[in-house]
Parts: sequence; C-alpha cells; structure tokens
Amino acid sequence: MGPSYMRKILIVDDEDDIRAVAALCLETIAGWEVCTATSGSEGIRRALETRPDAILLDVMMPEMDGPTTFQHLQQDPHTRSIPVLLLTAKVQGADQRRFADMGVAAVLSKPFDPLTLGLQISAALGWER
Amino acid sequence: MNHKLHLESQDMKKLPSKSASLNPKEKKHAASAAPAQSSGLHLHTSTAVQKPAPAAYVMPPQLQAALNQVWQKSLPLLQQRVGVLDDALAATKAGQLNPELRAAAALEAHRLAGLLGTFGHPHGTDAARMFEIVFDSDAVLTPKLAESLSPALSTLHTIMSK
Repeated sequence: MGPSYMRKILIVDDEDDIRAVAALCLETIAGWEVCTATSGSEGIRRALETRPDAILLDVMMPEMDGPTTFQHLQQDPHTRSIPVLLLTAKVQGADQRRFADMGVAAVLSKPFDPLTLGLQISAALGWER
Repeated sequence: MNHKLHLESQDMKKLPSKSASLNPKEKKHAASAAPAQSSGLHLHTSTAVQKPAPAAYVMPPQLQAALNQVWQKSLPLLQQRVGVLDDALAATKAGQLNPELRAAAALEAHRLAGLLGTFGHPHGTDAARMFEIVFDSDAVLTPKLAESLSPALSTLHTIMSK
C-alpha cells in the first residue's frame, strides 16, 4: 500500500452523534476518507457504491441490525471481502463473544475514545499508520 | 465539556512534553506525581527518567472545538433521553412502570452509555449503564431499587447541564 493511498471507511450507525464524532475523528486524526450510512440497508448500498477498505458497523440499529447487515454483506461477492468491525455498547462477555464468532474483523466497544478510534481500527486490521 | 482524553500513541499528534525541559531530578518528581493526576491516564512513569518521557497527547484544539459543536447539537436529544429515564424512575417509584416505558428506558440508557464516555463523560457512561442493567434485566423493579438509581440520575442531569 503506497503512502499516498487514502483509506476509505464506511460508518454505519443510526445515531447522528456517534456518526458525527466517529467521522470527525477518523477524518481529522487518522486522515481517512469517511462515508456514512444511517441504517443497515443504506450501509449495504453505500458499501456497493463506495467499496470502502473497512466498515464500522453499529450492532443495535432499528429495522436491520448490525449482525444482519453483516450477513447480507457476506452473502454478496462484491462486499464479502470488506472487513467489518462491529461497534457495540454491549458489555456482556457473551454478547462480545457472539459477535466475534460471527467472523467480523473485530468488535469495538462504545463508548470509544475519539483519539484512539483510528488506532483501534488500524490495529484490528493490521493497517500500517 | 470537559475532555480528559489523553493517550500515549506514537501515531497521534505529539504535543510539547512538559517534562522534556526538566532536569533529571525534576523529571523524577514529575514521574512520581503523575499517577496522582485525575486524568485517568496510564502513564508509564517508572521509566520516565531512563528513557525520553512518554509522549503525552491531548485533544487537538480544533478537534475539541468540533466535538464541542457536536455535543451542543446533540444535547437536546441527549436531554430527551435522560427525560425518559426520569419518567421511568418516577413511574417505578410510584409502582406504575409499564413494559413499554421500561423497554424505552433500557434503550435510551444503552444509547447514553455508549456515547457519553466518547464526549469525555465516563461517569455519565457508568451512570447510564446502571440504568441499562437494571431496566434491561428481569428483576422486579421496586421503589427501593428505583431510589438507589437516583444518584445516577443526578449525575446524568449534571452532565446535561454543562
């Protein structure tokens, strides 16, 4: 990956404030290009359109939750290879294990530290910064 | 908003280290004083004298200003969410909590717990988490249990008033 390559990340979260803060931090601190979606179905559409390098996907969303969205992404050959990181405020170990067992790249906890979110994603995906 | 977000990463914008200009004796003193700081930092103070002081990072001012804007914009919604907890707690104390309000309170508490820490309010996350655990459980909610949540609710109101 050349140094001039700008990572592109898709944030899928129904909460405006979470999307805003995550986008702000990933753009400002990590220097990545960020696109956003407010629902699972929009996230799937945006993933097909933008082909991001990774997807940060909220677990608890109305209509289509994160795990279901992830399953749809996995079923589509165009999006199957995009690493997905689940973002969840669920703190129970059983929940975390269940999410991890789905085959996602990582499970990140809310609340996240705005200064280290990019680092957490990079570390989880083995990206050099 | 009171951001107490510091970290030690080499990848973040490095700010001038306060201890960089100190003599070794002062550095040692600074290292021993660091754990008393209330920032919640994990500083590797034991090696501060032998190695260059670990980089201390704080929120870049521009980012903090931008986060402040997001906070201000989000505040009405956050206050509404706390209002749901108000209602649920009052209903519980009165023995009138219905399943719909209980579920709504659990959801709003979950959302608050997942957000407040990001804005530099870890106590807010803790307080909201207490509500989430209680309202999301199968426990019978008694007025006495509701009373025990009152301090957590006060914490949330204090944060919302900042």
